Amino acid sequence: MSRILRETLRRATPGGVFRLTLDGVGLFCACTLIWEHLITVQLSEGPSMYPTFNPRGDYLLISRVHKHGRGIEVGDVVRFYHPTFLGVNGAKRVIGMPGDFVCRDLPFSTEVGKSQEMIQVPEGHVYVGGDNLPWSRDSRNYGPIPMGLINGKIIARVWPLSKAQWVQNTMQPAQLDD
Amino acid sequence: MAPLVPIFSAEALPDHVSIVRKNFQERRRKGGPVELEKCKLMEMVQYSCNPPQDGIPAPGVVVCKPVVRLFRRCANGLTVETTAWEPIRLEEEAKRKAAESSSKVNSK
Repeated sequence: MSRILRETLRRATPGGVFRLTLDGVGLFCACTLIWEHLITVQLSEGPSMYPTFNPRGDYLLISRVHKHGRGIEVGDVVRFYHPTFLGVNGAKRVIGMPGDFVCRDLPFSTEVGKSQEMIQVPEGHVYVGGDNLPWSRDSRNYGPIPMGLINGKIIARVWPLSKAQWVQNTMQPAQLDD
Repeated sequence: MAPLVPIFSAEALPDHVSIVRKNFQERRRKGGPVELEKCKLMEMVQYSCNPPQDGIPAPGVVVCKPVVRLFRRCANGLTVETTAWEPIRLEEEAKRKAAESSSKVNSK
């Protein structure tokens, strides 16, 4: 092992070292660029999105192209900087886009629309909610969140492999007759 | 944090839908008022799993109850959650129908 190292050191020229360093820096920059602006993989945590995501944690594929709420629709799952915890990301489903009307429920309530109160989502904000209503801290607690806090859209679950799948937009034409 | 927004009751929803709020001013929506009944009905299913009010469940048991959110998606891209308003609409329709049928009976 030490012989190989000694031999490479003897053969190394200043030009070769410079090129290797440049390649390393270039690779690091490329990875950072992709990670920050194209796709990220992150482990989820917590029961707020059960049964869409496992409370014990799933690795999620996040598209960073959709940051600042670009191209987001009602029903998408977005990742955002948590408004009440520094350095933590939240992942919730979008229920109302700017200008939309949504039902306002009490925090951690198990039902929707019981209080008969409604609000209009202000400009530049989105109303988000977890899929598991009684275990979710979402816009019912902290109100509509600014679109600037959104830093990605969750597009797929990549690990565990047996459960790997695209994250669906659950908003669909109603199949019930009244 | 989010700006403070006025809360209104679900019964007043059809009146509020025709108003846009921009730069803290209220204006009437372009292209005529929105008629919620004619917009496309959408649904989104969410869940209520093991709510804490029901006590501690047996280990490993997860009971989920589906909760349906109803929406109306209108042609100009507006999405309105009508979970609370839809029962009110049905009630009003039933009342109107009852009134019509009773007036018919009276005219005969």
